[in-house]
Amino acid sequence: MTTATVLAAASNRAAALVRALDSDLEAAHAKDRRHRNFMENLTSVQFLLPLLAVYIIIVLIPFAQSIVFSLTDYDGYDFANASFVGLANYRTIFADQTLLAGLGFTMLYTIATTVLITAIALPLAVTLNRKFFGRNFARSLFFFFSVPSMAVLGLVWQYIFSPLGTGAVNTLLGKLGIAPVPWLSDPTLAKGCVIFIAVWVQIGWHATLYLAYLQAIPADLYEQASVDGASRGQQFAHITLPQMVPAMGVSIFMLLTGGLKVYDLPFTLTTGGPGHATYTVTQSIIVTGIGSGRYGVGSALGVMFFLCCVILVALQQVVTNGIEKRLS
Amino acid sequence: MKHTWTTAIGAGAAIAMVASLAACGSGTASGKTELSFFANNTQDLYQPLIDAFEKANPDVKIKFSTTNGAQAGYQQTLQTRISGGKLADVYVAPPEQLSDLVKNHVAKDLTDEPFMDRIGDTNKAQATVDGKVYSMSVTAWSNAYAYNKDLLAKAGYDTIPETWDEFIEMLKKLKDAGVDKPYLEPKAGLGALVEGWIGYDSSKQSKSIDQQIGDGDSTFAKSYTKYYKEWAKLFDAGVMGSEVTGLADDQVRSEFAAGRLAVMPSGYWDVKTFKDAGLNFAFGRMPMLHTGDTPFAPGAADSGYAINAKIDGKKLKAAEAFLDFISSEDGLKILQSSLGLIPATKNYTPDIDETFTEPYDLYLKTGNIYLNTLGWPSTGRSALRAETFSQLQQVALGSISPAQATANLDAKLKTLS
Repeated sequence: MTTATVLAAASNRAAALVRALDSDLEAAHAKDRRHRNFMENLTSVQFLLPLLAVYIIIVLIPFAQSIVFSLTDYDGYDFANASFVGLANYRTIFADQTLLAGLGFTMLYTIATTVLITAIALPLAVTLNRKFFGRNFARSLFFFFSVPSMAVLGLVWQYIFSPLGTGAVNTLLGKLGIAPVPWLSDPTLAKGCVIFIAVWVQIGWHATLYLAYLQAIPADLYEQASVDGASRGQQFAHITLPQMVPAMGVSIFMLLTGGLKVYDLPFTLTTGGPGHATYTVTQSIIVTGIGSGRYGVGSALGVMFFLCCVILVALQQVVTNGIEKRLS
Repeated sequence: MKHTWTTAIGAGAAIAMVASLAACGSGTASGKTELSFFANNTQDLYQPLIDAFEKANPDVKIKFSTTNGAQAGYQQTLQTRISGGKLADVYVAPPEQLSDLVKNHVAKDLTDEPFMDRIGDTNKAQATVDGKVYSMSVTAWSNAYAYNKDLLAKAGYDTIPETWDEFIEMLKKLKDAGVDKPYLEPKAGLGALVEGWIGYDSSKQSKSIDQQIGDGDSTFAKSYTKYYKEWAKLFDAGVMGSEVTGLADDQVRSEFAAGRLAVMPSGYWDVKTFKDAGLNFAFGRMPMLHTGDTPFAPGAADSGYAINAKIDGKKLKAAEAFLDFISSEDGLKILQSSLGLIPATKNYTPDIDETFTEPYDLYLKTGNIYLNTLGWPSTGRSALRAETFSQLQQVALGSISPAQATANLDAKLKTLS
């Protein structure tokens, strides 16, 4: 064996050793990375656990309970006495004309408030974003509408929209020689009054939401547009509106879910009347179901309503995402 | 040293916790028997009764609870407490729930209790399930027509006429005399006096009309249509407008208190409000359909006091003593002065405000009171009651006829059974 051969063999062994060492080192690094990732994930999970627990306790478990209740004749006293009734509670719902009336107004309320609030709050936010005397006062004033509870506002507006000649609005109209208007005693006007108050209450809050997004739009975009000769309308259509799509997504999502669940305002203002003109699905769940000791029917209503909400909100998300992609 | 202190504080806290838990378990506080009491009114109104009872029974301590001081939601909270195993030792048992309470074995049978001898027959009957009395109702309520004497005088009347047609005639005369609002009913109380008419007709039958509907022997269409047609005469005669479909109870009361409204359905609970308003007023009869009909009015025994069927020993003795005190003359006087309720027992004749003597003599003394919901199936009563008002609102608007309204009530009843 020559010296060269010995050196070559030693070199090969050394190279193999280095490769083996590299491989071990890489494996050790990979393991370390995996461990680090696992620990990071574990930390994230630990942070999420309290939220997850709250979600499970106050949303998932009650919802699962509702599904179980909806298949029984549970009367709210002792579940051990309840019997399995299959889908009978669901059949009851579809046979109840009151509920269908409630569904009609709930949909009208949701769509009307969503469209009107979005249509008014966006330009309002643009206006409140400009510099003018008393801007902060104006912002506070619009936001203040959303502070009192809907139930309290319903009771107050009951006197303002009283159909008697002594009602606040009718007194004003009377001074102008106009006969009393049956605000809350005419089905169409009563619906209009509920929607009007809901819009009046919520525009300030949603305008504030839009305002926050508006302030995040870079000012140089408008400066460039101005240099290029774009008018205010063109700037709104081509800069503001596309930039506001994510805000609109959030706002519309909240309006849809809030609208579908509406109960306090129509209940305190009109008690769902006249007739069933302003009756809502939530009122039906409370009056026909829970309030009457028919937890089974109430739960079935809740489950059906939840599914409707999920479908509607999913649809809204798809549409909003589509618009966002088209504009981006 | 620091460690020792920490240990000492921890041990102290543990002892305090164990001691408090032990106190909970024994149901006593400072050697007294603690009796929990769940009621449908605020503590300030019940406190005089509780104080007087504790003074008379120094070995018992009442632990009061209510539903945020409001009537609304009481039944629901009671239901929730029962399902959660947290029912109070003594509680107010609404008549609408009594059969469910008995079915779930949470109301003690009070039939043979000595204090039940003081209770009036009407009140006992309303608290009876399968021949046994399960709650002690000591007060009763009835509707009556509150009328403004000065406005009625404008049309030459000094009291409410006996029959419905005469009453409508009076309202027309009031309108002609310049009273813009001769009569208003609140939207959630439309057609209240119809129950008086049904009560009288039911008194001539072995089973009440509403019981017949509830049992499936009759229908709303067959039984109620004629009454609703009579009630709708208010709109045909132009003495009440469809604006009532948008008026809450408070708004009607405000109109009366302001002296603009001549007549409204009301009750003893409004005496103070109207007196405070400085009105020249009184409460009168609710007109019947025909001359000679025995006067009946919407009304019922108030919710009774029930004892939790699961308590025994000292607690049970204390609970019985509490009910005994409530039904005593002292207890009834306090109930009337503090809660504004009208005692309806055999052992005590209450002093009634002079403005309310006519309805008291006509209805509460005689027991000629009737509440349609008590005849309906216990499940869904409140939903059906709400539906009657919704249907009458539509009759008031002219969008449906009384016959359609009753047919709709039958359809609603089907969904509730």
